[in-house]
Formats: sequence, C-alpha cells, structure tokens
Amino acid sequence: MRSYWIRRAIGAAAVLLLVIAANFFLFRIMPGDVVSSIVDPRFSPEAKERMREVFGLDQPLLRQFVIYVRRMLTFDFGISFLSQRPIWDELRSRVPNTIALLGSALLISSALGTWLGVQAARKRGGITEKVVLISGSISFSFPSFFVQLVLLLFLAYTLPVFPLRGSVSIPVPQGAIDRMLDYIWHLLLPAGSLVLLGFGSWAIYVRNLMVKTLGEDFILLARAKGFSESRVLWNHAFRSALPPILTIFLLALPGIVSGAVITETVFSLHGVGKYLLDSIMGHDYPAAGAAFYILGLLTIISNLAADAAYAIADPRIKVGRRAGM
Amino acid sequence: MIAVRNLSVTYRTAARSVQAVTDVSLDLPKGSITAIVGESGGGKSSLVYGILRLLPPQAKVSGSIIYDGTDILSAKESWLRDFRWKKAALVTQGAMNSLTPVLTVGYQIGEVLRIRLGLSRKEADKRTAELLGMTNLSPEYAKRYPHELSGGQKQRVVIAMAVACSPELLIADEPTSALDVITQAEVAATLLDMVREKGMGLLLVSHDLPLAASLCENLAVMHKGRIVETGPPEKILGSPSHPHTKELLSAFSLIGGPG
Repeated sequence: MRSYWIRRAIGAAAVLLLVIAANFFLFRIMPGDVVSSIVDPRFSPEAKERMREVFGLDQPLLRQFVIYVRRMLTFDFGISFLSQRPIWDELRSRVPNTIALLGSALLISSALGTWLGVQAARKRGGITEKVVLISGSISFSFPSFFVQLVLLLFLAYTLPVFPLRGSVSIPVPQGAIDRMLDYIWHLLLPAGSLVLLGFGSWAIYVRNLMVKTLGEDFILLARAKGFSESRVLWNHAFRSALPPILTIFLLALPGIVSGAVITETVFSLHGVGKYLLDSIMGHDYPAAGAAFYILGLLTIISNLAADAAYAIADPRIKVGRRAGM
Repeated sequence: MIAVRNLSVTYRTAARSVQAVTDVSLDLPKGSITAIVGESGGGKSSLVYGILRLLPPQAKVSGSIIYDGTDILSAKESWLRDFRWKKAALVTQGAMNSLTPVLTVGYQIGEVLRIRLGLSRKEADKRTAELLGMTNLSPEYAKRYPHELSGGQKQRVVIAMAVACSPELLIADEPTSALDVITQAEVAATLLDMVREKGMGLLLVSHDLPLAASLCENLAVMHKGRIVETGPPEKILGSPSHPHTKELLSAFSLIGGPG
C-alpha cells in the first residue's frame, strides 16, 4: 500500500515537472517576440535590450529554466507583461471560480450519467434504456461551444432568464446569501451546459459496463440469495463496476483545461481558462504559463484524489504485488 | 419436498428458439440426495435454475415446480425472495466468478446472515468464522478478497455461504468441475459432510457420472432436455438401459476415470 502511494507521488511530481517544462519551452518557441509586442517599434535597440534585462530574458536558457521551476513551485509567477501587476494576484481571485465551475460540472455530470447508466442497464430493451442511449449519444456528439452559444442566445438573450456574461452581477448584491444566490445564478448556465454535454458519455459507458457486470455469475448468486433487486444492483453489480468507472473519471480530468478555456470564454467568466486565453492572445507568456500551470496543478491534484478513491474501491490494487512489479 | 411437473424450458432469441428442457417431471424428497447427470448443453442447468426461478428473461417456462403447495414458477416476488436461500440455496462453480470480486469473503457470508437471518454484525462475524471452520477454512480467510484464494478455497467459501441459512435443499451446479482431481475429492467430501450433518437435501448437477453416482441416492440421466433414465445409482451403473447412459459410462472407462 505504501509503495503504491510512493509510486503515485513520484508520478505526480514527474507530471508536474513536465507541465512546467512544457510551459517554459512551448511559450518560447511560439512566434512573436514579447518585447516587440509590448514596446513601441520606434524604441531604440538599446531600450529594447534594457527591457529584456528587466524581464530576465537575456539570461542563458537553462538558467532561466531553473529560476522558472523554483518560482512555479513557490507560486511566484512574476509580473504580467500586459497589466504590469503580479500574476498571482490576478489568478488568485479566478481559481475559486474555475474550481466551482468545473468541479460542479464534473461531479454532477458523472453522478447523473452514472445513475442514468445504471437505470438503463436494469432492464434490457426497456424504454429507460432507449431514452438513455439516445439522449446520451446526442449529449456527447455536439460541440461544446456551439451548444453553449445556442443556450446563451436563447436563455440569456432572447429569453433573459440567465445573465449574459460574468461571474457576478454589477453592482454586486449586498448580503452574503444574496451574493451566493447571485453567484449560483451566474454559474447555472455554464455549469448546466457542461453537464448537458458531459452526462451522455458517462451514461453510455456505465450502462455498457453494468450490462456486462449483471451477466456475471456472482450476480446470479446474489439473486439466488434472495436479496432485494436494489441490493443486487448497487451492492454487488455497481460496487464491482466502480473501479473501471473511476478509471474513466481519471481519464476525463484532463478535459478540465479545454473545458475551462472554452466555457469561461463563451460565458465571459472571471476564471483561469479565460485568463489563459487572454494572456496567450496578448503574448503575455508569464501569465499564460502561470494559468496553464494552475490548470495543470488542478488536474494533477484531482487525479491523485481519483487514485485514492480507486485504491479504496478496488481491493486488488492495495496488495500492490502484481507479478513483475 | 419439491415436485417438478411437466417442466419445459425454451430459450427464444430473435433468430431462433431452442428447447432446453422437455416435459421433465422429478421428485426431490426432503433430505434426499439426487444427482442429475448428462452431457453439457443437455438441459441440466436450465432444470435446476428453474427451481430458484433464476432463468433469464428470454426463457419461456411451462409446467410447474411445487414446494409446500406453492408453484415456485408463479409465486409472488416476496414469497420467492423468502424461499431463495432459506429453503433452497445454490452452490455454483466457485472457482469461476461466483464471488463478488470487490467484497471480502467474510462480508459476503456475513451479508447473507445479516440480511436474510437478521443477525447483528457481531453475531454474523462469529457465525461466519464457524461456517468457514466447517468447510475446513481458517476463520482469518474472512478478511480476504476472492482473488487472494485458490479455486478450491473459493469453492469452500461458496459452500459455506450456501449453508449459512441451513436450507432444506442445496442445489450444486457442477460444484467440482473446475478443480483438480485431489481438490475435487476434498470439496465433494466437504459438501457431503455438510449435507449429512445438517440433514439437508442435495441436488447435484454434474457431467461426471462416476462421481455423481458415488455421492447420490437417486440418479437421473438427462439427454437432450429429457430425463431418459432414473433410479438408484447401483442399478443404473450395473445395467444402464439408455444408450446415452452407456455412452457416459464408456467415456469414463475409456480414459480410466475414477469408476
């Protein structure tokens, strides 16, 4: 069990370093020189050189990288090229919004999809199965930005039930409860659209998994024991199907990054994904790198959490002495 | 006593339908040991799973299976749930996939005791240890998961689970088929001990005629969905009347089986 966690921790650390390295080098091989993008082209070459020194861009690449890694680990992201403000100050207020959006969307869509999948597997050829399979296929075949724009158009513009943009109303409502309700009201459409787009693949995957599990011998035996149908379904079938479901949960986590960028941009939310896109557009690579890093960090942390859940759900993993390991 | 009367089972798929059991009648007196033998696909399993009404939804069943004046095939769901495991329990091939992989052996035996007999967790733990001991397994196996057990050990767990509610009838579907010969003999002995000790009836389903004959009081030979020969094993082994019985017997003497 301990060796399992040591292996997971080393893996997470390696991924983190890879994210940092990718950030560092990718933004440096992108076209467009920063200095020329933030200073007037009429500046003298000496003045440009001074700018490069100020930002540390005159140092050797490897030295820049070492400094970069240290700063990432201490959340010292430096000053934004664009706003000239500390990047962490700008990001800090956005992280909770991104976690609220993606966390609620991921949890609700996986929970809803899983529940629908189980109900669909209950009776083969039943009406529930057909409805789930069809709605599930529709759910995951639409491109997210399209659905989100349509929802925005009809539910925020034509029929102004939801706000058109932003994470809070301006002016911000008084009182903690009013502020929270206002926040949820702004979150409903973006998070709801992600649930609408995300539940389908869960439902279909879980349904297929449950159909297979319900055909196993131990299910027949659980029925023979005179257990209630719900005990057979949840305590034996679903419990056994849980490890592979968690695997898919793990695989879905990297989708966080693209989900954040597209959804936050469409709904103009004050989040890390929107910040990432704005920074890239402005060649503000310290800021873009920091945003990328934060999204990467969120993915790695949720990955570890899912790993922990997996270890609890699947007893076979705890033993950790598989052949050849 | 369980009385099977004119039972027929047909499996219908979109393409075709297959008759697995044809007009079978069989008496299972309380406490008796009956064996059904026959080749694979001969309808043995369909017959015994019918007794617990565990046939898949695409199976079309006619006839009746009477227990204590109630037809199992048309009984209410609540009656059926009470009948299962308390009156008739099932021993499947434990070496295969009969145990839920993510639950400990102790939990699975205890679950039956808690849910079906209403025992407390503590009482169930104590009884689980006793049941494991009766099948010659150390009580510490309760903490193990199925994948940590050998085929023979899993089979013992399945037997311990089946006798947990002291049923009147134990239905054993090829209980020793997936095991090696030595383990087979040990498991068969355990099964027989339990049945004798508790005065339970046993319905043994097997393709192994010599093994079945050595255990049972009453032998039924099944072929192509029909019971073609029935009687005491000595009589059937001594003078088999149906060609299929002769075939089954010669198959074993050919390879020098335990006959």
